[in-house]
Amino acid sequence: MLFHSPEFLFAFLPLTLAGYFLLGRLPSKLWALAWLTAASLFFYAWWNVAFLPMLLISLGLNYTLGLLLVNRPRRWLLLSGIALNLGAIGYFKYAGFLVEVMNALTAAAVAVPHILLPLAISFYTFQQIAYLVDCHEGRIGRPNPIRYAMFITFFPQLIAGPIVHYREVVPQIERDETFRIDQAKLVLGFTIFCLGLFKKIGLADTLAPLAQPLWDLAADGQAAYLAYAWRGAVAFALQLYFDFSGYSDMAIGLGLMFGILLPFNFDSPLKAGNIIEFWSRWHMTLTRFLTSYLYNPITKGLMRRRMEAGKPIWNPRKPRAVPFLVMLAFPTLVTMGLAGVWHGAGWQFIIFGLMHGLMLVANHAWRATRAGRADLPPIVRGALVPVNVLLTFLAVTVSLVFFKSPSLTEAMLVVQGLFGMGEHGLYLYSGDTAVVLLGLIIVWALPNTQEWMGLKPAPARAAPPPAGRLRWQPSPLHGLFVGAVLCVTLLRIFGSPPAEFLYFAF
Amino acid sequence: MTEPEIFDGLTAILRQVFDDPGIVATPDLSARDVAEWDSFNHINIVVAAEMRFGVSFKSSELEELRNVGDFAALIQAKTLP
Repeated sequence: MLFHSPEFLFAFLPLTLAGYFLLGRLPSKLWALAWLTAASLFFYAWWNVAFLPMLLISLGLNYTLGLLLVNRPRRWLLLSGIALNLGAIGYFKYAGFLVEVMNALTAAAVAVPHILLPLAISFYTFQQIAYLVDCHEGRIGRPNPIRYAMFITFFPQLIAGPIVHYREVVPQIERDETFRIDQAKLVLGFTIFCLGLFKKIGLADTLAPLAQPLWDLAADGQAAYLAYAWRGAVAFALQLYFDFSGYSDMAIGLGLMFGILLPFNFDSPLKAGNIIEFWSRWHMTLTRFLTSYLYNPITKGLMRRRMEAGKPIWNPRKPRAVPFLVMLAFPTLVTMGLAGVWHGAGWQFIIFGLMHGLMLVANHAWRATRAGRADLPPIVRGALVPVNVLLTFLAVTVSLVFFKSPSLTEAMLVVQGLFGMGEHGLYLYSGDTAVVLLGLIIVWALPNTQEWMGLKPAPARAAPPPAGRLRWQPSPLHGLFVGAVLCVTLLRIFGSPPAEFLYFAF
Repeated sequence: MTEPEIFDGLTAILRQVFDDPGIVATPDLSARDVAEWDSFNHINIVVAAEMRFGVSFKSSELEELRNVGDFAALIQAKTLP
């Protein structure tokens, strides 16, 4: 069931909400949580009942492992638990790809197994790995099975995140007031949901047909001419951003309607002035996961070992090759390579991850150069902001070509087009180009959802944000605006079959 | 360890990591306020603090830190006699 399908909007959501708040009046809030869990499992099984057993097995196994770890935090048990979870993803996601690679390397002809990838497995597995680490670190008291099941299966975030921590969600559902109807939260949540719905239906699905022809050409073995290639690639970058951030907004909005605050997943990543910043603003809960459980332990271990051995550590003011390669390039490339592979099995995803790894490493190297460290006058720095944002956006756009392409061959054809080496493609209709430009204006000139809703914390040193007239308020004017957006979106939903979210493939 | 001792120690660490003699560890200072406070420098600060204060941090503890004030409180809790 997609968030933007009529069966979700007009049957599933109202019924689930009504049941939740009705049962929430009982003294034990576990009834409401059991209802929410059952509804979430139904929501999940709607796609394919065959996926349900895998989710239930994973749920039961990880809950049991968590209990054992809470009682006795043994390292080997944690490591086996993580291995078991990764093994499951590995089998479903990569077995087919590995057989293909082995066939290519050994000229064998083992039949490539066609394994159906259980929906959301990458997301719910990561969430449970984080849970096991929390249990091992003694951060969790005795977990209640119903609260645990609800925390993993909560339908707004089950399919494609945000990837949340037990300690972020469960304390909220342990409080009684979460189960009381809170008008402010309902209105705020519904508004965020509508914005996400518009991002998906109004923007992402409008941009999709402008991106696709570029990949259709590549599928025919043709490279597009320069302008055509760039417009298609930019259209895809925008489509992916609106699709996934729209989904995330919908998830956060739905969570809030149930009184549960989920973490934000995007913070205007396309406004980033460099790649390091881009990753702190794009798919933030995945970045957080990979940073905590992969990048930090590797870097920390290396840093401690080098400090204890008296070897120099990486310092941008005294740049030296060995510390740079060992302490910075190595952990970054490993983390981003795996981030790429997490998105899917295939060389194009490995290249996507490594490209970002190399760009991050280059970003760090640049900071170590004299030019990168130059203290520029504020005017020059201000003038460079659009240049930095544009360069970062173009680099991200090229990398996303690999992300979108079904194979490396097609990706290389699209990239040839981007470098002016192609001559195919149709005439560029100015109306279509205007849509892409409008997308860029929205991304670069407008505040993002959390800024507009006044939910973004301001940095300590910066001036408080101006109380702009644009800021959302529960007023008739803003209500009218959101209502109009919802109307337009609903008209489109009824006019055409709903398109799936791009991130459901992971 | 007392609060002023911890903040003095953190100020020294921040000055060394960011090579900025003007930076002062204040409770509400956070990574968002310092342009160079990236994931690498974050670990640099954490490891320096672990060695200076003789403590060690868990991944969940590090993730919950929002600002220098949280970090100082965590160090204080860990260095209680």
